[in-house]
Amino acid sequence: MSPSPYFTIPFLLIVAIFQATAAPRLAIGSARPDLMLLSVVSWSLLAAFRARELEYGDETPSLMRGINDGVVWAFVGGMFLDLLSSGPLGANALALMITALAVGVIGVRVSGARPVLVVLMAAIGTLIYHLVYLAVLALTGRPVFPSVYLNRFILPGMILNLVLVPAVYLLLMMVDRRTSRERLEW
Amino acid sequence: MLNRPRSRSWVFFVLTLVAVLALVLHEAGQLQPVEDLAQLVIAPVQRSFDGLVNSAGDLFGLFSEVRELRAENQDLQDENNHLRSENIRLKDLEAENITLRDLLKFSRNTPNYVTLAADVIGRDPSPYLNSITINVGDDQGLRPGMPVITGGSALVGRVREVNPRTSKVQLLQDMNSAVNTLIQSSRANGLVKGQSDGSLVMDYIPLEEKVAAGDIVLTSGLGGDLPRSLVVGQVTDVTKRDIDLFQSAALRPEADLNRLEVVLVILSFESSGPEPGK
Repeated sequence: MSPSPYFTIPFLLIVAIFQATAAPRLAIGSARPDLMLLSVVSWSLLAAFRARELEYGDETPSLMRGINDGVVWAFVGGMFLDLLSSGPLGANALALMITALAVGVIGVRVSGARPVLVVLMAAIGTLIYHLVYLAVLALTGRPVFPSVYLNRFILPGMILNLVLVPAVYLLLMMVDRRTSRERLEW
Repeated sequence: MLNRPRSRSWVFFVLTLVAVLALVLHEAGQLQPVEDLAQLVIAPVQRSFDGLVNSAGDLFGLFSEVRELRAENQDLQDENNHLRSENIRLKDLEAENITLRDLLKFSRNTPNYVTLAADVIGRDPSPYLNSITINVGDDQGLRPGMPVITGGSALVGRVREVNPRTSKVQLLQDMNSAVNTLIQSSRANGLVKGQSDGSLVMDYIPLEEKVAAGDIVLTSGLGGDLPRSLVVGQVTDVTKRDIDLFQSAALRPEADLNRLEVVLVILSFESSGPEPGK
């Protein structure tokens, strides 16, 4: 499932830099495109779907194979975001990893129409990511106002993410088909 | 027959441990050398990307008009393309020139200040944190806490993190920002803080002081970490209740914090000398 690191690392770095340079200028009101989150959610789902396709059933190793790819993407992408942010290092990584874990587990366990699942996971992933990130900010002593942020950033961001996730998912699906190298343990 | 793939359930827990460790070490200030090294690699890419984004926005309008004119006359269209590209470039230079003239005027009016111009190359990717990244850092003499202004001596924020060639500036509207200020007309003291919605509020104004919409708010210089009389903003609304100990005022920031392109870092200043806001 995993593509080459020579693709993954530069791709995630570019997404992080885009998030820090172009995304704030493309905001619609207070809603910014959250491309790193959408990339992690999409890749976690692709990994989960692939794990199920390989018909390893409900065995734990196959579940972890499906989840680990998204978690690794979340860690690398989150660290890049943290390096570009004035927030605590590791905050984005933690938030994205927990999101990837949740999306991966649901993606492996739940069957259904994939387009619906992608959109649903984008919404759930947005909520999980922002709540975990705010929790980390609060734990590190920064003031947090959940109710204000929910109305100002989280809900508008979720709506924007729902619009953008099909394009991001399709793009990564094409990338997955071209670059994946399945590792079979014989 | 395929063997069962190896379980890698430890990956999530190991990476989580690494992330938590990074969090703790960052808060303890132990990861600065690592972050500096990473910024050395990332900053040039970020600068280049920011330049590409700016160019793409300028070129978009040109291409649609080029397609219409090309059908009529290819020769005139080629010359038109050249002249329009030059015009866009010159207009961009003109806008930059105006900004830099404002900054130069500030520098000339405050000879006792040592300043350094910097380009804004990025903003914080988190919507909950208000900061910008500028293309100067420790190598150019920056230190945490240095004030950052824009044209017309308007305070933008303060340097928060410094890497060898880049720095992060905490903007006034950040929730963790607090600046000692005073009302220009009444000389009433207060504290300007960023709010969760990105606005500015001046708090702790004594009830007996006169504050009205339109009043100019300046830095007071209390504490010695900021020069006096840098322009912070203008009062738009006053909240005063008898049951409160203090009154507060909503402010419109003097600097457009969402459209920063070039800023000035005040590397050093003396408390005596001409006041920049007057």
